[in-house]
Amino acid sequence: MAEPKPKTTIKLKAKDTSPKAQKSSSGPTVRTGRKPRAIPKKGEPLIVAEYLSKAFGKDAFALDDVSLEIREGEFVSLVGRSGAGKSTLTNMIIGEERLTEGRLFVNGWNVSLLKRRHIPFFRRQIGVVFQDFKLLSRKTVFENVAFALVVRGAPHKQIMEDVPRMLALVGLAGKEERFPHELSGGEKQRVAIARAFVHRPKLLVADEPTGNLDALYAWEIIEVLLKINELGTTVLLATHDRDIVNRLHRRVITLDGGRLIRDQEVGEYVL
Amino acid sequence: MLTFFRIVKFAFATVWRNVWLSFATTLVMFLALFMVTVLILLNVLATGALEVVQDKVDLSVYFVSDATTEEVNVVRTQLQSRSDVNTITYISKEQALKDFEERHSDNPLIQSALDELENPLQPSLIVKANTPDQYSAISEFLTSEQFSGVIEDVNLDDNRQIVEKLTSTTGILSQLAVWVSLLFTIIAVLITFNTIRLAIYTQKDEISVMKLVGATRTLIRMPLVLAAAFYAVVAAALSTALLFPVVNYIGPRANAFLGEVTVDIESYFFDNFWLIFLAQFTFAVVLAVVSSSIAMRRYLKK
Ligand SMILES: Nc1ncnc2c1ncn2[C@@H]1O[C@H](COP(=O)(O)OP(=O)(O)OP(=O)(O)O)[C@@H](O)[C@H]1O
Ligand SMILES: [Mg+2]
Repeated sequence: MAEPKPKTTIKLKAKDTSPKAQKSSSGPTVRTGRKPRAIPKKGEPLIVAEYLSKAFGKDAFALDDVSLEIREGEFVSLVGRSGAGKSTLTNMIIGEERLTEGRLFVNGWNVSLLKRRHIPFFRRQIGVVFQDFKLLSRKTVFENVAFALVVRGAPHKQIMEDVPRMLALVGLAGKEERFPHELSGGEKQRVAIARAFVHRPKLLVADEPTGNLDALYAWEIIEVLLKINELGTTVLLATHDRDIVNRLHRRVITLDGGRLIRDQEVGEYVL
Repeated sequence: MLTFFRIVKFAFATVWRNVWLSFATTLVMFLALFMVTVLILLNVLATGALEVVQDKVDLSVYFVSDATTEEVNVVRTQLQSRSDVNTITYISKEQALKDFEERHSDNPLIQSALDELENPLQPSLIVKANTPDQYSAISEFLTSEQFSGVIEDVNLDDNRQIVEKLTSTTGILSQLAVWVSLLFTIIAVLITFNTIRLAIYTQKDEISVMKLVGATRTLIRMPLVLAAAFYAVVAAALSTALLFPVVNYIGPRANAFLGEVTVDIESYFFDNFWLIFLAQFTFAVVLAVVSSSIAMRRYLKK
């Protein structure tokens, strides 16, 4: 690239950056891009990333010096071209990908130091949705959603109460006994969302949840995510769907070549 | 507790989903256990028979009828100084007669014949060696030139043949037991390993989703170990059950083969029933746990 990229991230203070310390010390995080409009009041920092880098091999950086902060209750879109590093970042946030450098706090967990044996307990506090749904093909819709609770050791009674409620929320009431192959792509993704949300996590990370869907179905999925956000859960949505991002009128973080190039409070898809 | 039930449920799902593989694995484990146990039982049988028979082997040294006690004692002392001789029993002319009379007390013909004769019997020594293979050396020593005047006959008991047969049988059996056990154990480990590997493969999606939604290592791994342990328990039960008819079959036949010597393999089996079952069970479970652990270590890395 001919033009030097503008440095768009303002780095957080380096001294004490645990999430606890941050709530007392920091004012509103300064972001560049469009001038912030009336921001609805948000809660505590839920994701704090400092100088995150991920190197595959020697000089191949999938993520390069990314710092950001996402607060409770936000709905954040993470956009960028293919290969920009969106999945790398979301995978880091869910503890699936190790970081090469930097520090990362999610929901009070220092993910950069997360021990393997702690990962299950960390996972239980977040919800994850992928482009390919990752449903269990031999299980019914009900069982797929229940599986998230079963694995957590939830009692039968809770499962019988929470799963139908969640299926109603995502608009799948009456389809409990279907198998994934009897569902449309949009419906499958709703099952996945129900599974990711059935335990009411504080954070829901969705990596291109609409990637396999037609535009119409795609927006329905986004509406489900918005509903979940209204219920208080922070949503991080990685996508490269311009229409969706522009229609959302929510915060947009733009990655390019592994760098955070833009962070707008009410953003648009600009690339 | 809830988690435990779910682990058991997942374990049965693993068994059921790969039902043919489960069947094959159980079968191979069963074969391994059964072969090993039968060989061990045969070994017990042969060793037991050997002990009984060994005790019956001896060497009788018959002196000429007019040999004096001194002459007998000379031979006796020389025998005693040999390291291969274990015990020596002296049976005098009179003792021999008494024994003979007793043995034939119900036969008046012999009784009356004996009354008329002067004691026709010879003094003798009964020699026991430390091990059966030492008898020929002792026998050679006694038939040498120096004793030809006093010793009339050296008689080796017939049991020696059976002993030799048994000694070689137990030797072969224990060797066979070691190799066959080893072979079958290796086969069983490989098969179980492969079954668990395939179970991991068929449940790949499940396992990745389990991890995704926060399943602990225990919840992912325990069902696999438990499935393998399940094969082990069934195999041990089958093997123990099949031992009943086998022992019933072997027992009488073995005794027929051994002739007058009897070793009660049936009562050995029943006396040690729980021990045998427990040993098989433990062996199979250890085998299952080890092989499934290797499979998991290999294929469930992350
Ligand atoms: N395991 C890996 N080994 C080497 N390079 C990798 C690996 N995973 C990702 N990368 C590289 O890291 C960069 C960022 O990948 P990432 O998957 O995060 O992109 P993305 O923004 O999610 O793209 P997409 O929109 O196509 O999903 C890419 O250049 C990719 O080639
Ligand atoms: Mg991606």
